[in-house]
Amino acid sequence: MSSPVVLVVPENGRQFGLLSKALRGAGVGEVHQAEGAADTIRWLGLYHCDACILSYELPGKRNGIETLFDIRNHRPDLPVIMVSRSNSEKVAVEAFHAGVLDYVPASRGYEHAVAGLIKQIEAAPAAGQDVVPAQIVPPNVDEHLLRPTYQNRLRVIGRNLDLYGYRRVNILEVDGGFIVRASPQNSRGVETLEFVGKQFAQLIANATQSRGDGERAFSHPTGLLPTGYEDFLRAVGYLLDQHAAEAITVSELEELAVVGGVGRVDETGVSRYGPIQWLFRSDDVAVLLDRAYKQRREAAPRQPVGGGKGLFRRL
Amino acid sequence: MSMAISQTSLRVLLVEDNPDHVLLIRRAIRDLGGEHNVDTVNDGEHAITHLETTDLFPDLILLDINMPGYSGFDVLAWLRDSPRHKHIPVVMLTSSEAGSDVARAYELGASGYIPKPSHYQDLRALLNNTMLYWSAMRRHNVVPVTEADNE
Repeated sequence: MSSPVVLVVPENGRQFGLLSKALRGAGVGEVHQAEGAADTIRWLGLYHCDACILSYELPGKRNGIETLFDIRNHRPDLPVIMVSRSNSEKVAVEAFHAGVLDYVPASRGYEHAVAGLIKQIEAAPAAGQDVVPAQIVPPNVDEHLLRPTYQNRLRVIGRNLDLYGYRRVNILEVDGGFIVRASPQNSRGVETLEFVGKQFAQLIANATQSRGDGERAFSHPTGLLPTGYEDFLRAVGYLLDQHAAEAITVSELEELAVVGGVGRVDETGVSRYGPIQWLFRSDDVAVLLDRAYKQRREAAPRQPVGGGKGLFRRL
Repeated sequence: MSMAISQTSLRVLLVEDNPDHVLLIRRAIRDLGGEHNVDTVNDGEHAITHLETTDLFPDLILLDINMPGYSGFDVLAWLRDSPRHKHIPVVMLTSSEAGSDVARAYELGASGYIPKPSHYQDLRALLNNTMLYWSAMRRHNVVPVTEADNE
């Protein structure tokens, strides 16, 4: 398929702007807008599109589900992705019963998830061909810093959490990336962040360019993680890599971080695979950071690039 | 170093009486890709009958706690008492946030739990991680240790 044509039926102009920007960023050439149910049906009667993004909440009397039934009368096979401000299970069930390709509730960055789905539709005839976006890799960076290890991937997740001031973090590894639930700065709510596998090469390159192999040397407001998420998650990731871990979770509680997954465990000299569950209190975190840093330095004794600050010290 | 995980297909038994939750859970598992096979029964009694009569044991049971007739706890207790079934991992599905339910589930030998949240996205993420976890456990032939093994 050449660049797909996508019809967006948004709740309002702001939502259209976000979706349109994400779609164009994903390489969608033509994005059209229809306002409400009647305009959508009129548009589909006049023009062609390859996919439709339909909001559950719409201006006018008909909601997205009702509009979908109207769409089905004209284009029974049109792939429709429903987006919604509501996170309710009821809306999700209604949408799937009505035959949507997928249902994406509003959360931070949901427009990128939608753009990804449209790209999947576009790529469907050429299944198996993985499209990797062009990457800007900084020069003179050690190759080991750019590998998609847990150390490097968790590090960039931590970096983003630090940059935007998130706290109370829960990380789940899912097929193709990580889902992070965290509370944003100055808010008691919880947001969902998605880190998709293909993003990591660029995110890791960016993090390495900014901080190189360096260790953070300033204090962070949480008592559990004295130097923030980037260093903590990097140290956890280092340990996970050493244990050849898979399917990991990281949960931050009040005075405790819990790391789980499946990996190699050593018991009385025998190495086998099994469930991993590590608990880190604040003292353990300091030891973990120190140990991971020292071992990294021994394994890669080159001079760090970027803002290296030397050995971690408990603050 | 961990790269993208190649999932081992799982045979899952879903024990859930709410048809909406069945739809969402089946859909979420289907969206994971792979070739997971999901059998569904809608109460505890049918779950036990199914497990007693089948030769194809599930690799994972997703078990609702609150069901008419036998509760999820009853089914879990039966499983852990049954020599043929006690090693099947069981992840409890709970719609309550009650810590006591979770604690009781672990006491009875549950391998984990998934709160059935009102957010579909959360449910999908939790199921995704659970399936990855048990795929890895199966690939490495890890059998969960239950309380019964420790006695």
